[in-house]
Amino acid sequence: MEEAYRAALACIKGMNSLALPRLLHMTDGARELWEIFKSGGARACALVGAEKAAAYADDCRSTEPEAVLENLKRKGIRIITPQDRCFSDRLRAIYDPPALLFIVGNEPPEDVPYVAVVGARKASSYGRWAAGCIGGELARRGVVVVSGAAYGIDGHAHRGCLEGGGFTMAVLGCGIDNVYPYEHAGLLRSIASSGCIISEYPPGEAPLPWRFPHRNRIIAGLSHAVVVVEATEKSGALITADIALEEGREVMAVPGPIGSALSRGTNRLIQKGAKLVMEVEDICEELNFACVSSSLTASGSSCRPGAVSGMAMSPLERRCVEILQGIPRSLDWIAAREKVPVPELLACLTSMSFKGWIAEEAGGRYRLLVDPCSD
Amino acid sequence: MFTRVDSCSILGMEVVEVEVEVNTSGSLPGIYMVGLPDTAVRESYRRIKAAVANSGLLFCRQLITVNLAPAHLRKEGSNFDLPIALAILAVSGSLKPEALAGRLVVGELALDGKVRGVRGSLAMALQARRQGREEIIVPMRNLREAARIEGIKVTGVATLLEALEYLQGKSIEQPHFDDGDDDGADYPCLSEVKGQLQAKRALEIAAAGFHNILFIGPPGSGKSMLAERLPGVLPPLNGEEMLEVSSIHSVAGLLDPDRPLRRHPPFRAPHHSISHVGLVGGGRNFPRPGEITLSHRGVLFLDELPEFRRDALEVLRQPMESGSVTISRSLICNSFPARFLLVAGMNPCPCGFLGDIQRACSCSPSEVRRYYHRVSGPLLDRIDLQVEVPRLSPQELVELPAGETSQRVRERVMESRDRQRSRWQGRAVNASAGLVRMRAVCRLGEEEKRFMYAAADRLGLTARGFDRCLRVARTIADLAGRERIGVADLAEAVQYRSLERLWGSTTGGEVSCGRSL
Repeated sequence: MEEAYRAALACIKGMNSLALPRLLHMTDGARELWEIFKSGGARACALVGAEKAAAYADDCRSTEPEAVLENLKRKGIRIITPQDRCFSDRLRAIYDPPALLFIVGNEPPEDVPYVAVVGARKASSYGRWAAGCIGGELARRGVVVVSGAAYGIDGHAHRGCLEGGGFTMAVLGCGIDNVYPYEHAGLLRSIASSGCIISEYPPGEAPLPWRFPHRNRIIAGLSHAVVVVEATEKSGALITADIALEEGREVMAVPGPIGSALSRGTNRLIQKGAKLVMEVEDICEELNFACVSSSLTASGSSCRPGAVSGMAMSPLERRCVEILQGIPRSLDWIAAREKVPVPELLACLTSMSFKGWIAEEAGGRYRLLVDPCSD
Repeated sequence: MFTRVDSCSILGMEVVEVEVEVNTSGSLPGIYMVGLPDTAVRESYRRIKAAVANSGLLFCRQLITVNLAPAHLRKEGSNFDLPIALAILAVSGSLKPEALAGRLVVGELALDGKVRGVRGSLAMALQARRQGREEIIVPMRNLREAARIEGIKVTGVATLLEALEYLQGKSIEQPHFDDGDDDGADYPCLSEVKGQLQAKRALEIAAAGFHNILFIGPPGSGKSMLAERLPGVLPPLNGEEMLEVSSIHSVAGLLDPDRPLRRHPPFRAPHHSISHVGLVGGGRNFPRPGEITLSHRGVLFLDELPEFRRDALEVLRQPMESGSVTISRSLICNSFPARFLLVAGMNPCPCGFLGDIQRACSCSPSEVRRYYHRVSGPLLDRIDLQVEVPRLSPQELVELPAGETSQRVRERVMESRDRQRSRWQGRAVNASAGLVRMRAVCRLGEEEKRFMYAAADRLGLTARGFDRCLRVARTIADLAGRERIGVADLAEAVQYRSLERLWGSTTGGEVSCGRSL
């Protein structure tokens, strides 16, 4: 019953999802708050102001809480409240936990570590590769990967986790039935089928900019640790990291080249004391979970760059791998340095990128993805 | 009294012969002009009267009826001034009527009796020769242009009096033109562009196989510089093409009278505010050629492709396939040739700095996506070569060596054209050859097939994309003088599918935008 009232309250038009937990705290549960709003009396005015109280009253009188719950069920949306057993203790412990969560997909597993992998939307191929690697390796170790389903790092962390056969959680900054970003429709479908999508916003809410920082507190709150893969100095991922620090969670970061604007945020985090992540083991070390350490010994692989034997390369490929170390280079630069005819070089770069050794970035530069030293 | 003289008019792009008939009858002096003359033609009476008087001749003092036949066609332009004046002089006895027979006369009159130049004299001379005329009389200003047509006598006249005296039997002096190869087309050299090796290589392939090309790069990276150099890499026009291109430009009034024959492929770069009519041609009564016809056998450069109006870009699709465009209007239906090489330029994102090493891009991923979607897929599908043109750092600009000259590249292009000519019996180039024949010629070996299927899978190539890739590989092999397409040719061809590489399935529909030192 209480559940239905909570859902109905969250679905009231114009309800501030941040204020709802406070309101519930001030009254004696959801049912009473609902009745207060429904009456539209002085108590309601004292709680939310006369204007809102009137609007809420209208809304409440025309709605049946059971019908709201029924309606959600028809759409395949369930709700979790802090009273539920499956509502994460960690999330309950944060400064301003949500009054309830809307959820689509599977029940989040208990007693396993949760790690948030977050970062820039406009990521480099390096960042996307790293996010995918970390997501995949965490999945193989039974860790739940939490992220925000945005472009770039978020999306690739989810993809990596799905490919690794793990459970991944997407926390949305909009109504749970909103597909945002639109291009991630397919990704969200797969997350819902093998992981879950959660949101504190009722169905139909738009992805407004101020919702995302609030959403980040849930990402941080759900997780034992937050790994920032790539972030500029003003990135929203750093908000997640800040909240995580305030809530006493581990914050880790993947380093990047000092010249890269996309790594300035993460490098700065490391400078301030965040743990530097080179391998997935670096993350797992911080998570005191039996399942993690046991699988750690079983699988030796990590997200080190794939080692490619020099034997497998043609002479030109070997030269390209050598000079591409460190920073991405343009075709002009490679051709001028190696004195190779352009047609031959283009053919070589194609075959290298097909083998997954290099990636091309916007701006016509090629980045090395493999480790040439390990022969 | 009755006289007749032949002249011609331009309808759209066609030259139409018009008979100018003049009849006088003993009545009060005056003039009737019939045969659907437009304003410029009707006004010609005033010019003729003044020109005759100022040449010291006597104007006919009877009622004059001028008929322009065929009567159902609307006549436009001022090129009937001279023939009407000569016919009126003939009926008033200054000229024997036989003197006008067999000749085609065009020219506009100035009030003082001088003959002014007209538009399209090259096309008129060409038409006159086709009709088996012995002679065409043109304004002196157009003599150089019309005289390019061999097999017909072309006479230039500077004044009305001179024309009259010439027809009376007096010989007039004709200047002699010694035209060299210079047609005023001075395309800059490819060696002036530093770096951008992939883009230059793409230009060479584009020129060899007549493949359309798209440059993607931030502002100031040299997209326009590269595009302007493409006509200089294309083979010069052969005799037939020269006449075809020159006559289009003659009709459009774009020929330089002092350098009338276009020996080099034209280059047109319309601004992105152009309408679809401006691009493909059209007009209210008589369709005029558009930019795609003016760039026939040459280069059409559309810079800032996503800024062009969508309707203007969409009308390009059909001419790109068929090499001509048919325009129907209420009075006339014209077919214009339009076999052009499309060079398009665009920024990598709305702000222009996606992937730039020096400046950060301020666009959101969805803005970038919308920007690319402004150009329709079917149009991009028809662009075989898509090349990124990165902006070079000042250091790179200084250090990188100057490349090859346009002339050296052109020599290779011409060699590859020779190979294509023997393959397609001179009827096509690699980009436009028929699909069935292309499939037969580009038969791949086992290894090549395996590579191509893997590439198609990785890049998410459409069937058309696959076919375009094969054609580019064919041109690459032609440039290298190879009879068979090898894996290296295919691997290089794949490099020119930038959009699919950036947006294809492998990246999950995102562009990576690494910035580094």
